[in-house]
Amino acid sequence: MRDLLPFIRRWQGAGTPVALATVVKAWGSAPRPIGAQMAISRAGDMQGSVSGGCVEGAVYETAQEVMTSGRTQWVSFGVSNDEASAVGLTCGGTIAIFVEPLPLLTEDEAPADAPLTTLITALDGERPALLATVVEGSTLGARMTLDSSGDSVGSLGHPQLDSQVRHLTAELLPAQRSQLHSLSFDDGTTYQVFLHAHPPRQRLVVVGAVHVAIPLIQFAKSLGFYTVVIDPRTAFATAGRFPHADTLCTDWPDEALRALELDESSFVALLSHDLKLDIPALEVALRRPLRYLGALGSKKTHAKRLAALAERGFTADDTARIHNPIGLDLGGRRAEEIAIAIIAEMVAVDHGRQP
Amino acid sequence: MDANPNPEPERATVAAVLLAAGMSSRFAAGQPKQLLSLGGETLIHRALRLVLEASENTTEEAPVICLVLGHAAEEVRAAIDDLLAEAPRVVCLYNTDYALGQSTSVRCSVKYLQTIEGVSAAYFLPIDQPWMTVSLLRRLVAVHDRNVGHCGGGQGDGKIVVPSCGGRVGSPVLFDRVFFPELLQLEGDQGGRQILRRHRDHIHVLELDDEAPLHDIDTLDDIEGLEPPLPQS
Repeated sequence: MRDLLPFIRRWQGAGTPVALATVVKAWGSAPRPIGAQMAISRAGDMQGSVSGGCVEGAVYETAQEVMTSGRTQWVSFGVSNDEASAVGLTCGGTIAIFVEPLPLLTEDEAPADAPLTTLITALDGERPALLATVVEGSTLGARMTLDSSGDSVGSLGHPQLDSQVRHLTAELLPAQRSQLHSLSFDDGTTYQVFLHAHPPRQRLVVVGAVHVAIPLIQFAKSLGFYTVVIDPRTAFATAGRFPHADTLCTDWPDEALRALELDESSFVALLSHDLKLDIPALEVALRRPLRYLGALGSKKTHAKRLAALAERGFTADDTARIHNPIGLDLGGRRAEEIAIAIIAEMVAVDHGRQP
Repeated sequence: MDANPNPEPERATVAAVLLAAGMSSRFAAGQPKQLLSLGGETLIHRALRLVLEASENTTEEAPVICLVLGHAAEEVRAAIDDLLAEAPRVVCLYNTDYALGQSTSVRCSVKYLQTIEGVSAAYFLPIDQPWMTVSLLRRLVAVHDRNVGHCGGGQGDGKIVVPSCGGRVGSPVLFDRVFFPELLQLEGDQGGRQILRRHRDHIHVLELDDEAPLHDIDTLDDIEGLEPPLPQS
């Protein structure tokens, strides 16, 4: 949704209707995960992907019908589905896709849909939110947006359903998991609700706006990271040098890192190999539950860092989390090559590999 | 995947499995829990009677009902002689490993069900839920039969139906045939919970207004006050 929003707004701003296709169920070796989305405009534009190319054409046709009728539709593709032989999901997986017409989301218009507006505000603010949509049942298309504190906007049209979804959100949102939920009540009503978790982007915080930081921020940005550069030396941390940084900060690293409220989805790379910056940064970073913590510098530099940290009461166990030497051993020495080594190590750690 | 080459639509049968082999180790010693009498009827008798009632007047030609016995099997069986005489279609399975936990009874029944043609799913009912209702059992089967909430589904997309109240899930749980191999992997006192966790988007929740049907009797204290009172049969 985050990546599609600029396109949706641009198309709608030009007066073109837009439909949204979402993978709500995937089993077998499905090419795209649950929650993958594609936006389709009346004018024939497409952005995003629901299958990696296998069924986009068929989904496009469905989206055009949806925009004409104003009514949502289901499409499913898989080995046993007749359509599969026609369009072909070569990977052998099965996916179910929900296609819905989108209300106006343009910034200058009055908000047409409160739950969607709330979701977009949360995305912009990098806060976790879950969008629940009735994809089958008497209140088809009803939406509700919930945040991690349990607050919600909108209703799915059935009090018990709302409370069930609130219950499930408390479990799904921290786990960053989306899910199709199917249920029926004593009053005989039956619903299917898609619970779409929208976690904030993973963050990469680079301390030290050095040469290596420039390609590293660029690569991280293309992987979908929210990127932050911290360096109190104002000549280094400039927008001219870092056009891909979401935030540039010239505070001292300890102060800056504390303000960022680092969490389990945060990656921190210390690149200055200057103890004046590294030690205050590490004092804050080592006290947070980070996804990744790496520090550039020779063995000698790192030994000095460890000694300084030991003086400040950090144990060997505490400091064992620091990746040094930073990055996978790819052998390259150019700034871009080192940046690739670092980003590769981040990807490995993110997926549970221990480099 | 169903390998049935028959082009005619297959008649789907949902099997009922009554789990009545347990030793009820948490229960007061003396008599088997299965034979505990409530309102003049033993737990095993009540459970089987409800299952038989639920399977009456259904579209199924020959409902498949399995009773898994183990602990005090002969006594337990004797307590339902009258029902068995009237309902010869009930199959009694003897689980000799019952002391190793409920999974042994599940495996015992699934092994049998896999040999029966046309069984598309099964639900597993412990006998210690005396407030269970016929209507809940029927709804469970109806959800599976009617493919309620099955949009976008395809073959191989089996369903699990779980009764729940206020977010707490209970028994009986209905498993589509595609999950039988996973049920055979269960061990010890494992229930099907981990299978539920693995297949969240295959679950259909039957949300109940009243929690009583899911309430099980774990200790003698549970039946002291008999709240809610047992419905009269």
